[in-house]
Amino acid sequence: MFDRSIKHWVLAGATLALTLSACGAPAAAPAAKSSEAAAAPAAEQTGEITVYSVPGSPQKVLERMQKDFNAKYPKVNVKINVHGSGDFAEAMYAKGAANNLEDIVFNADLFVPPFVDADLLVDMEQLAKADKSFDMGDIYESILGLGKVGTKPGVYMIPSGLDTVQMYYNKSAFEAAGAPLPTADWKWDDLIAACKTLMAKNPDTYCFDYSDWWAYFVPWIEGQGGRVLSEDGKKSLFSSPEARAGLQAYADLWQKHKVTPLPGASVQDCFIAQKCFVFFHIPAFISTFREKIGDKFQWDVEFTPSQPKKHVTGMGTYGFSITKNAKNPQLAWEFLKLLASPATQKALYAERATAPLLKSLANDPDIAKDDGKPPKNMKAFLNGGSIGIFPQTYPVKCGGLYSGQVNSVIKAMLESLMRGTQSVEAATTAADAEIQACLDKN
Amino acid sequence: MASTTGKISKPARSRSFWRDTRDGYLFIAPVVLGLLIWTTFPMIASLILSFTDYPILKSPKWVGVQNYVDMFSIPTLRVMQSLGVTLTFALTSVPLTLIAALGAALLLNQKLRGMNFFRTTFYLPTIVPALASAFVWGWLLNPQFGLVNSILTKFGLPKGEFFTGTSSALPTLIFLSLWGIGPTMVVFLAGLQSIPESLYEAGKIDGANGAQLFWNITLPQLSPTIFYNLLTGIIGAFQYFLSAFVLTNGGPVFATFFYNLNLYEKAFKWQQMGLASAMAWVMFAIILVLTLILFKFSDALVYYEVKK
Repeated sequence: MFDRSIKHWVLAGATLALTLSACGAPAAAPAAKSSEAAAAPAAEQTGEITVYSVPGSPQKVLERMQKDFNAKYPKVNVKINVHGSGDFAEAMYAKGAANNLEDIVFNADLFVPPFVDADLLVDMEQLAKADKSFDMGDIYESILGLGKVGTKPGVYMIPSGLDTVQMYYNKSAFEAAGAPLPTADWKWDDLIAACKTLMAKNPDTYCFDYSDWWAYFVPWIEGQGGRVLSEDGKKSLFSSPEARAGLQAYADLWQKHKVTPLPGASVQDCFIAQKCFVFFHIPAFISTFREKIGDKFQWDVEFTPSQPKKHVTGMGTYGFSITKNAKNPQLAWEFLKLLASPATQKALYAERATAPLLKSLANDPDIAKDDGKPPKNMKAFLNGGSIGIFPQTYPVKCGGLYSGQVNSVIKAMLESLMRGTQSVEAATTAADAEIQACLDKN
Repeated sequence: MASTTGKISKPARSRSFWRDTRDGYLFIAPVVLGLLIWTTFPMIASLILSFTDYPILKSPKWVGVQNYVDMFSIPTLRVMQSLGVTLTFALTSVPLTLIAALGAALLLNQKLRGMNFFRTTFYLPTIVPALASAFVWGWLLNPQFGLVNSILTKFGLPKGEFFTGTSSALPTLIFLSLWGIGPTMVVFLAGLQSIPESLYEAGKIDGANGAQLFWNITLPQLSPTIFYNLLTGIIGAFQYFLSAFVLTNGGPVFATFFYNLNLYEKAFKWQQMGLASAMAWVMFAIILVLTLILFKFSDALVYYEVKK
């Protein structure tokens, strides 16, 4: 019982502090609701749904969903609380710890495992199953995987779109340098050769920004047939021959080919500033590039180049989850399911914010339509799911590819590879030892 | 007032006395409450949490001194490594800051025309928000595209790695810490101006030269100020966080992994609030011990006109 009394002390103090500071914190959340699905609420349903989101595109999506929702439930007030300044992850954890999460929260794959482990999220698979108007099977299984955890069945996040990391490239610079334009079947060697041509023609530039983001380095490992973690989640596999081969090729980008700068030496918005010519990321950057690049140069997107044994790329997106604080989970579901509706998905695609996550939209004429603006080759994103992979999950106590101890160990390993301060053998052996110690303990 | 029994009684408390007392307590209440709520309570809470395993989203579990044992026995937590970085920084940046601030204060203590302009100029960097300065320095010292390297290249000099080199990142941060000498300099300036002119005049009559005046009058008279700046400088150095967080985030390869960055990582990235609380208390103990040691030796090193 001691641990309970400590929490009470901490929470009592925090409550007192918040009350006195007149921050207007929400009242204590009611007890967790069952995720058992009930019948859809009637149109005259009254009440309020609270939503916590980051600003920008997700907020716009919510506002759009709000309109559709209120057309059906005009008496339900949807209150969207937008995260202000500061680190969003810290705010999420603070809200989770204080048990004052909104009914629906912005989410991302990095929060799903710890929040599910702490029993803060509702399993939406149950709600979806009971909802005849919603077909969870129409969502690409690969992207739905971001809302699942290995330790507990269910779906805990509805993704916003099919976001895969693909290759933006400066078409004008490629043509001016006489480098061949990328194609869907390019290998990494083809890109590296083009990079060298581009850099030779453009002094004081580099080819692309690359980092220790999992969506960059894990494809190198899986592209060699390796995995970072065994399927049962019990063995760290960075020292496997496949992983080492992948990481050696990854390290060569800095040490041998020198096509990407060391951490800290990159230029902000290098693609827009034309200090780099290739940029690997999800579709969310399209609207920014359209706005900021304008007519300065021509650009397009293509599949990320293929690794030797397998063609894979990272996949990640944001989404939304229903929390166990939801006063009316069924009503929250009625709101949230609009995120995966054809209308919302088409609207998101019209802004080129993401590729649609519904299989049924694959051949939709609205999706196939060219809007006359770059990128011309939207197929790279629309078909990206076929080569997309998502991050494996570790025990919550160990963190994961995004954060925590595993992330720290991997970052240290990758940085030593980028700088050439350690051999791949030494770095991966050390990383495996540290991660394995945590896996064995948890 | 004498009573009829011959004893001296306490004066009766008037209504205005009680009103003043009440008002006094009301006036200090915000500060006292603020201190209790925002300092005392979190300190007590963090002390208790330091004996728990507390992953934030779940209830804390009592683990005794395990966090304190882990800190010093599990190398992968990098506690000793980060402590080493912080110590190196403190041992170099504090003396450098003191010397630079004293030098600047001595220059600005001259009776020359336009001195107020120079004093303002020297203090100006302190007014710029630390975060903004950090970003500006990040741009200036960018190894590939920074202004500093482009100037070095123009003069045919080799480019510096600055924040991106494993051996240059910490020295660069130490150098940048000199950017914030303003407050230390102002305290020195105030100290210099409180030294009686008569002492210098007496020294000059006795034939002392500039160096002798500095060594035998300025330094002893300034020693309480130096002691104060040393103390606050050490405490500040052990709390160093922002510039490293913004510019290097502990890298490259942990070269600037300061103790407080490590603490922040454990608390907010690893969600190990119990361990982070233990780290905070160890840091508190280190600063406390260092402060006590400094006070112990202060009698021998600091000259006070009025002996305690």
